[in-house]
Amino acid sequence: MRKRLIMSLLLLALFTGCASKKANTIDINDGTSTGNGDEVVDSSQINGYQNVDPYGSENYGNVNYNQNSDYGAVGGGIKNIYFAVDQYVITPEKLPTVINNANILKSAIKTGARVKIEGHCDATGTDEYNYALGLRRAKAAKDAIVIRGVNPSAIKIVSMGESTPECTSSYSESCFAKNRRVEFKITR
Amino acid sequence: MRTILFVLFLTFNLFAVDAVFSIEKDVDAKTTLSLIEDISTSSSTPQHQKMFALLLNDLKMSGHFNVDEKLRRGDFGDGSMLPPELHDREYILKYSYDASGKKLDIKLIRTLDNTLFFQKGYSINVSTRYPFLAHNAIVDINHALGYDDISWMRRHILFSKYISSRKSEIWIADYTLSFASKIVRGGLSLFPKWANLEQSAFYYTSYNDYLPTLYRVDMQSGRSKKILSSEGMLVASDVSRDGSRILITMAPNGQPDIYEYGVNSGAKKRLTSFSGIDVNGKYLGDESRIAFVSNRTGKANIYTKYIGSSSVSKAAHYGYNNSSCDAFDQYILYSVKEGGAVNIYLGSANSSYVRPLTSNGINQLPRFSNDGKVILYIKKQGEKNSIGYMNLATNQNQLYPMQSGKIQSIDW
Repeated sequence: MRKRLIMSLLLLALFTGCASKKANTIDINDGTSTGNGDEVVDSSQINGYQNVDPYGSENYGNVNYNQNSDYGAVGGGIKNIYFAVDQYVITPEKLPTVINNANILKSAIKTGARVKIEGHCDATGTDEYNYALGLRRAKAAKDAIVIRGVNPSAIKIVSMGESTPECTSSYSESCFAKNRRVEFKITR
Repeated sequence: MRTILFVLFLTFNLFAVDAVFSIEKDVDAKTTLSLIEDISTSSSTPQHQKMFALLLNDLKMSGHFNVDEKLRRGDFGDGSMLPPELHDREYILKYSYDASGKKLDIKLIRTLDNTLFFQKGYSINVSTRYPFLAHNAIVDINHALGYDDISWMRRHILFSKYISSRKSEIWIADYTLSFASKIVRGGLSLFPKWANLEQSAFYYTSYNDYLPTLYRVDMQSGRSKKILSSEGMLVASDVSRDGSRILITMAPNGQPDIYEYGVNSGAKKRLTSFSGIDVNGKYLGDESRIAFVSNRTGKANIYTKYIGSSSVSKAAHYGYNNSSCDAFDQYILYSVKEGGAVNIYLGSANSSYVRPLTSNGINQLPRFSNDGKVILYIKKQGEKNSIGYMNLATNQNQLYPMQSGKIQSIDW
């Protein structure tokens, strides 16, 4: 009798539910149900569909530009100056080109022209740093021709980054080298 | 004896704890799930096939689901019989994508008892934006099942790409590039940057005026407003969380430095003054500090400084030629040139923590998602670009190829 009572108590303990709280447990009956205890219905369903189009109109944000063609003409005899990788110093062997360009530009400015110096990069760099590198090249070229008598107030500099490659035929270093340059444009 | 057992049997309910149905979320376990398309609206049109692929992709990309890749069709009604081979799946996602391509209904069925766990309907105004139906559905399902938020999936990406010499376009797209639309065209337009978390406006630099000019475009109206111009270069690098301040790279005297611009006041404060190159400013932490790229030690590298202080600290603890940085909280992403490759590394502005995220190829323009959990980057292979995503917690990784064009800049 006693044995049977002990067995029964053991069986009772076995059948008792032991719902313990575990980490990361989610109770789906947390008050979000609509009443039948099983279904979770989003309130937007009651009103129809949730519109997930944030901008509404057919053609949002459309901006059109006509390209400004006033990039300037390259004056006869003006030459580009080229740079080493990651560099913006005008090396001594480039000085004849600097002197040549300065003389041509001085004459052009006397007739009312202005000068735009564009700095360019190869495609190996990334976004902002590349544009800044192009700009420092343009500034180095400006400083070089100003020293040789070109009026600085007639000069504007701009970086074109990698947007305007001279060479697009391959992804070789010889092609990239042609793109690391400054160009001198005469504008009127 | 029989009497005792009978009494004990009657008392079971007195001692048993109420059975509450619980979903245990073991963080390492994935939910098994299969998809069933509504047979009454299913179609063999390309858009319907793409919807299945998108739902499948989003579920996988979340890192939280083990998804059956077979496309099945069946009854969309409640309580309908489930295919026997799917009884070992935890959930069935039924979806109904209508013929107009502008509406998606979903039902998440718990297979254990064939009951409806979650349901919702989604609509869009223009059918070409159908990917956002899928993205929103999976974000909501993920949330309903108690997983970490993946709202980054519903955001738009903004990128500029070169199309020819001196010409570029700005595009808006979903993260998979299944939807992509040109929004700025003509001339040279670069460096698009979202103006706020809501993505209701963006900044970009136009080279179509005499000087580089920063514009702000409102997405609803399409109206653009000139913000400022600068000789040399002009880039909106980062925007404060409340949208009131912009970190700008400007070069008024040919000297590229970082400035902070007050959107409402128009005031500019110069933050760097090194005589070389300082660019790519990004807010850190509470936005009293910035990370940026500088060549002050000869090669491009990543530095930090407090706004208002002249003291600068090196932030990248790996690599000697680093650029293209992004920041989230104290963490910094940057590209490292090493050998013939360019790889992306994750670092910290507050410690020497370093983690490589890519290991080969040319990987650039890393960007954090707005919650810092996922990164986006561009993988370049010759003329071709792909947009890659990496979930930093689950290591889920996926590449989406671009059809054409070379990406100049991207924002998320």
